[in-house]
This record gives sequence, structure tokens and C-alpha cells, in this order.
Amino acid sequence: MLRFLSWFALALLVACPTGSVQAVGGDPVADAKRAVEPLALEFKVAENAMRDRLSAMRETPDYKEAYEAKEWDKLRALSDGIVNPVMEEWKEKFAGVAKLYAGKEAELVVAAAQLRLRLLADPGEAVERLVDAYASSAHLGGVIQSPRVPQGMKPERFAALMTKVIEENASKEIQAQAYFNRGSSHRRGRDLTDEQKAASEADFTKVIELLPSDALLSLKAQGPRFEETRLQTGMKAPDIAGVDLFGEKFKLSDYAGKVVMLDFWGDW
Amino acid sequence: MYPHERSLVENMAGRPFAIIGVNSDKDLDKLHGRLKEEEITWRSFWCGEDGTGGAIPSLWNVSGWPTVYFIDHKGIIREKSVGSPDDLDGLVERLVSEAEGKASL
Repeated sequence: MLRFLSWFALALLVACPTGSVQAVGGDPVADAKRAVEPLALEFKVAENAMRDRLSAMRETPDYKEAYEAKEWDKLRALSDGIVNPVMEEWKEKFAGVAKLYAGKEAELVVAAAQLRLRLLADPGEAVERLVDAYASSAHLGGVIQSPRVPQGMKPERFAALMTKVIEENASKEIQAQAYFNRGSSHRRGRDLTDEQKAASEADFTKVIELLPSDALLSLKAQGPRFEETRLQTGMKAPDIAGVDLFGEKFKLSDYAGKVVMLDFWGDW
Repeated sequence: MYPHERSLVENMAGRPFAIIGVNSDKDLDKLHGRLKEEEITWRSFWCGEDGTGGAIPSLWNVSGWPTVYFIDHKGIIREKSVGSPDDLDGLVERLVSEAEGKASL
């Protein structure tokens, strides 16, 4: 009987490799993903509507007068009046979902979305607690996806948490992210000591070793060295291959023989 | 920066000069509208949904926008600046004249 059942499960697995099998097994991680993804999309819509309301508010005489008079407190109160209720509402909605998975590995999925969408009052506390509890989890990636040291946390503490992940997690991608975060944690701001610089470079080297060379995180890790060794004045510019704004492939070297003003820009 | 770039493209027409952008806007539809509004005719690489964190700015270690590189006709990086350089027209004129073989340094 047992053998029959396991054959049946295998047949099911072969028949439907994604989604439905997990539902049969009642996988809480998949379950949490299904709960969070539509909610995140809904939040994006609400956030866009909020932005539109903010732009409209900035056109009101009330706002313009306060702007002319440089009444910063009043300006802040006007935007807070629009932003805060929306954010509070969505913080609560996500907190409600988080509660369903509290204490289970699946809470990582909800927390990842909360962190990404900035819907946590205390992101530092969450990162601290979750890394501590789930350092070896294959689902930790989303929680450490940002190299930015969470608000309220000391860079040294963040680096120590990343060390824990590096030591305990078996996933190459997650290890690479932890190395990258640790390597970036003391990179920002002031000049680094030689020791810090060497440590940071060693971490970035590990990222490059762990990932395919065209992985985005690998490219980020390659960046500082690439700029130092390939992008100084007097050096031959490296080629760039990509697609234009209409999906056509082209290369920087297509313009060889011309003077090129290479402009990294955005319409903001 | 658009008006200055537009006038450069206009003034340099027929001469060995091109503006090539590396664009980090995420919303391509919105951007297509802006290209028309601002008459942005020069070509850009698109960094995709990753925006400023896309492949090209990541590898080129760009951390300020705009960052501008000036590459001469031999492919050598001659200047780079975060923001528009002080004497944009002078710099471009100098490099383009050089490309045309007019310059005697």
C-alpha cells in the first residue's frame, strides 16, 4: 500500500512539476508565496495612486504658498497626510499575513516582501531575528537581498550576520549575496583603511568565484576593480553590447572612429 | 541636460560625433513618451527592469547620474565626469576637431 502511494506521488510529481504538487503537500513556503505575490502587486497599484495624489497635491495653492514661504513643517505635514495612511494600511495588511507564518520558515517569504516594499517599522530588528533563526535556510535570499545596512543597525553587526550566513548556508547564491553585503557594509562613506579595503576586495572576489560572470551580482562585485583597471582616462574604452530602447541590439564599437559622449542617464 | 545635448547633436551634424546613452529608466512605455516630448533622438542602451542596478552601470561602477564618459575617435577614454562637465561644448569641439585631423596639439 505504502509503495503504491509513493508511486502515485511520483507520478503526480512527474505529471505536474510545479505549483499543484506543492499544494498537495501543503508546502507553507509555496503557500506564503501565493499569499504575498498578489498582495505585493496590489500594494504597487496603491503606491502609484498615492504618487499621483502627491503630484496633484503639489499643484494646490496651499502647497505652493508653503513652498514659497519655505514652511518645511507644513510641507511635510501635507505629504504625510497622503503617504502615512496608505503605508500604515499596507503595513498592517502584510503584518496580518506575517502572523500566519510566524515561527515557520515561510515567514521569510513574507519578510522579504515587507523589506523590499519598505513595509516594516523596524527592518533592522527583522533582519537580525530572521538571519539568526534561519541562517541555513534556502529561502533566506529575499531577506538579505539588499546590501544596504538596515536602518538602526550598526555596519559591524550587519557584517557579523552576513558572516553567519556565509558559514551556515549551503546555497551559492545566498552565500554570494552575503559576501557581497559584507564587502559593501564598510565600503560606503569615508575612506577605507587598507585592512578594510583588502577585506572588502576579498569578499567581492568570493562573489565573483561563486557566481557566473554575467550574473548581476557578479557584475556589481566586478565594478570597483573594473573601474580602477579599465575605465581610467587614457585607457581604451571597453566595448558595450546591449539592446536599445526599442529592443534592437547594438554595440558601442559600432561607433568606432567617432567621438562618443557616453551618457549614463535617466529621466528623473 | 536635454537642451544642451540636443544642441550638440544639431551643431555636430555631419561630423564624427555621437551621443550614446545608457538609460536606467524602468518604465519603457513612459520613457518612449518622454523621448518624443524632449526630442531625444540619440540612441541609448536600456538597462532593463533593474534600472540603475542593471548590468552596464553595475560593471562600470556608476554611482551618480548622469555620469558621462568622453571617448575619442581611437576609442580612448579622454574625460569622465559625474554631472555635465564644465566646458561641454569646448571639450566636444576639441575632440571632434582632433578626429577630423584639424587639431595640432
